[in-house]
Amino acid sequence: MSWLTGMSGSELLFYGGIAMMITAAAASLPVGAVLVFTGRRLRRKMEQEYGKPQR
Amino acid sequence: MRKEQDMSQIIAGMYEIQNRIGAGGGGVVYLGSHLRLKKPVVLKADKRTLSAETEALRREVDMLKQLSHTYIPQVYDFVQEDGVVYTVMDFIDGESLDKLLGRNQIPPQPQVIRWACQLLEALDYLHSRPPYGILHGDIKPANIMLKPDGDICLIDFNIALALGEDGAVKVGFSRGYASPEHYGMDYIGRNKSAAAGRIAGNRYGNGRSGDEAETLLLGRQGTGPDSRRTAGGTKAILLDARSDIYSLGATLYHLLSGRRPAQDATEVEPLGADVCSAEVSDILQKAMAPNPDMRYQSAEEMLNAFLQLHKRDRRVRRHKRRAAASAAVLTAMFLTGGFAAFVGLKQLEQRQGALTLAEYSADALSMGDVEGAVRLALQAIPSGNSIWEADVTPQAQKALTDALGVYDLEDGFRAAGTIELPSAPFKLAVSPDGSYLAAVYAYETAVFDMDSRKEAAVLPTQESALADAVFMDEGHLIYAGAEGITAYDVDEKKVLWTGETATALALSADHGRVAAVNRMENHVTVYRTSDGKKEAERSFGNLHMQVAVNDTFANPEDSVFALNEDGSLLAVSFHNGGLYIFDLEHPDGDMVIYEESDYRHFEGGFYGNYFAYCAGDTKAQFGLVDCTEGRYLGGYEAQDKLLLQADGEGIYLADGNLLAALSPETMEEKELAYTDGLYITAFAVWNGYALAATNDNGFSFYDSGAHFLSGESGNENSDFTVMAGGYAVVGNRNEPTLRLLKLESHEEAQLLAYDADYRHEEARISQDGRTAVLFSVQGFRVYDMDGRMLAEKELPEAGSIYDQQFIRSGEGSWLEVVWYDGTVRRYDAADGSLVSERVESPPAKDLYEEFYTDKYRIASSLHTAPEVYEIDSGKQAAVLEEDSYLTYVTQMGEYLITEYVSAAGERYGILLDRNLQKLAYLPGLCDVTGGMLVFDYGTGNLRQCRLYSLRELTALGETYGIDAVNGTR
Repeated sequence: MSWLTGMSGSELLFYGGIAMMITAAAASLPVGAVLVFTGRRLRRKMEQEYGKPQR
Repeated sequence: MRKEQDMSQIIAGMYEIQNRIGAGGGGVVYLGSHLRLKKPVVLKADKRTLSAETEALRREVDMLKQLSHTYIPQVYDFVQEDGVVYTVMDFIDGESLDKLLGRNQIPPQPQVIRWACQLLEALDYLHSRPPYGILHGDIKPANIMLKPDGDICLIDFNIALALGEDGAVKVGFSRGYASPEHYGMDYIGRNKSAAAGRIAGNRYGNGRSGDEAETLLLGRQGTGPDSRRTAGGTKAILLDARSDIYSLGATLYHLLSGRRPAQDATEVEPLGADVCSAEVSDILQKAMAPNPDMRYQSAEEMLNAFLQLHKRDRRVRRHKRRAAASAAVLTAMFLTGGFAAFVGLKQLEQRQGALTLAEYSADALSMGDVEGAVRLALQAIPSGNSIWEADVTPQAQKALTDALGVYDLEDGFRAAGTIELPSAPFKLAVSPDGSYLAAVYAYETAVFDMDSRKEAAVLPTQESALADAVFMDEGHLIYAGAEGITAYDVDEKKVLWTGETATALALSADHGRVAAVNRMENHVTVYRTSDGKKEAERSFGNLHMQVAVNDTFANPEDSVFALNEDGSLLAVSFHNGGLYIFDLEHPDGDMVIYEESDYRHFEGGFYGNYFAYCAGDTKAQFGLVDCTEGRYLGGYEAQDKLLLQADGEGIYLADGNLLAALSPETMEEKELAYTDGLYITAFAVWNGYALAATNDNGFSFYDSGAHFLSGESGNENSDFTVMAGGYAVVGNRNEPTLRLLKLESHEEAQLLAYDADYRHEEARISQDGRTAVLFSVQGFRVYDMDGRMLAEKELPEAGSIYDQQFIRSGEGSWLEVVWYDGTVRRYDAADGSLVSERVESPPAKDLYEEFYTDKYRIASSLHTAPEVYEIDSGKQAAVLEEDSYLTYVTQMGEYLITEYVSAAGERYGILLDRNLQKLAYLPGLCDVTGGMLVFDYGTGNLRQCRLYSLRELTALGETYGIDAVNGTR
């Protein structure tokens, strides 16, 4: 694998790991945004169905 | 019942009845007013007035009076008037929910849930009243008041019962809202779907309609286990909080759906999604379970179910699961990436460390510290047992290979280690057989064992840079001791004899005499080496040897102080430029070469009857004297400085870049070493080998045929070069580190011996391994493997030869020669005979060739660096040696062996790994055949070895120090 990319295994681990971290961090933004959005929409729907949470 | 005309009746003098506002199972309800407080109240005339005992009713009302809850009306009083018992309580403004339902007004679900929570709070309050709680017993829309503020209030406690330890017996019910227990149906312990059993005598209200009509007053039939069976013999089913929960569930069912639930709990249909949410339907379904054990067991539990609706909704839970899964996946991804990056970083750090160690190893090797180089290279190779370690770097493997020198099979001097002195040396001497090294420094003489490089003795020495030391034989050293000239037995570690104070020493070639002089004085003493007996003394008169005022910085090499073969003649140079030969036996026989001169630098010595000398730093004068006849034989003036060594072995003269042995009889010179463009600054000769230090701070070894053997580099010019017994020692005046080199022979790797004088460019082994062909454009020779020459041929028109290729195939081996005119001739490698001749189109002149391996295509031409391309992608992968011409490429397993000829004509190979990284330098590589590397150093030997695996190299490295000491390397 490493000879395919021209990088050593260590470089692959290092840069691949960083890329994975960045990807995870970057993906957390839209995923979080979608979850917040759908969560709010769901809360509104719950309030419509059940009323505002009591207590 | 009270009539309308009685409406303004005053009750108990405190309450004025104003209007009848309703009637139910428990009695008639009036709107009244508290006369003093002017506050509206509700007075409820109890139906049980006539049948129940007043005290019992009072106790019930007292119990209700103690209730205080937001959603329960406050009971104030209990009064009697005209035999009617009135219960006075809060007036609740608003309307009951049954009115709402009567108008077909279905409240929205959130509203119903809000009411449900309020009702459940009220029920929880009731059920938790001491000692065992209070049961409402008749929860239905008609008994729930909707206040103007939107909240509700649970009313009508006419049939409310104080619960006993085991519950309470039923007193009345409202059809559809009453729990199965109200009807005497026992589902406990049965399957929910099982047919409910009815108990005889417990059927009430058949054929009635309307809430009011169906609410029956049954009267108290007793509480507790003893009262479970009525007087008439019917079985009483105990009610408990779960009965209220059923009723509340039924009430909510009605409010949500607009239809009254079926009387039979088993026939109640669950509410669909068109009516309410699935979660609400589930709550109602559970609350209305026929089996009380399957219902909520308390109002609080049911209240929690409503309060948790948001959290327990399927969609909310699904959303939370998605969020949790996303967070888990992203967190795991982040952590995994972080861990991978950390491992990668550690590996890169280790790799960088390995690269640095490999560089240090190469530096150590260049400085002659082989053990250090091997140790550093081993440190650069990871153990492979940890994830924190990267793979072995090619640089580390190459450093180890170079340090071990496993692919350098040429006989010659190899670095054997270094010796550290306390300070820079003044003089070095090696014993005749190379067992010991004596190093004079300030102000001691240290003797080292050459094999182990360990100190054998440290001897106090004259405090002078001119202090001298010589070996009279293998284990005996004569040195300028602090107390005087001293003979010392190194093996026995004892002083043999001592003499007068001296600095410079001269040993006769037969080692029988030693001359000693203190250069601050003007006389010399000659001792017999065996016992230190003075055999001669001689005064220099008013002459003395050249010394600096402070002789710490004096150079002993500037002066001549030498004895001849038997110690009868002594040559001395003086401070005034004089050069004399003293006859120690017959003073009349003294010879004066220069009585006085401008020369301040002299070198010289005796060889047989001859005395050779040179004088001067620049434009040096060389001269040769026949001491027997006392005749100057001749000499010459050189353009540069001359270096001279004359001893019992011969006369050696270095002039510029040429070191030669001079025959005093014929004055002919025999070349010992030629250093191309470099000037020789120091040299040593031993047993046919020559060591020449050059002005590039390097030094080189040459064999008896003046063939270059090996070269080393250094940081400083090599001032001291001594050789003896297969050892060479190199040092300089500024560094305390001495470099040891040892003569190594690789006869075990011998493949073929040939005439070393035969000039050739390439050597190849035939396919069958029986012959070797040595060839150049001039011609070729065929040898068998026993070293017999089978054929020799000169090639015609050598200047017109374009290329030569040695071809091996299953059919045989040939030397194929191509001329520029397209002529191609093949010569058999077995006997050198011409096999074929043909004429093709003239070849291009760029010598372009392509080599193929499993993975790469390598393009080579005369004027450009070899380029490597990946066969699959066609992409360029690397550029190989830029200053050399690639001649062959051989794939051996996963390794590539590339063979080159440099611009200087040197042939070598490079071992590459699958990523084209250099693993080893292969000096003199001439062929790769049969899995063996064949080396030709042009010195009459073909030698071979196999490729070493990393494991083998590591094993060799780990035992290197031991083997080196034992001399088995």
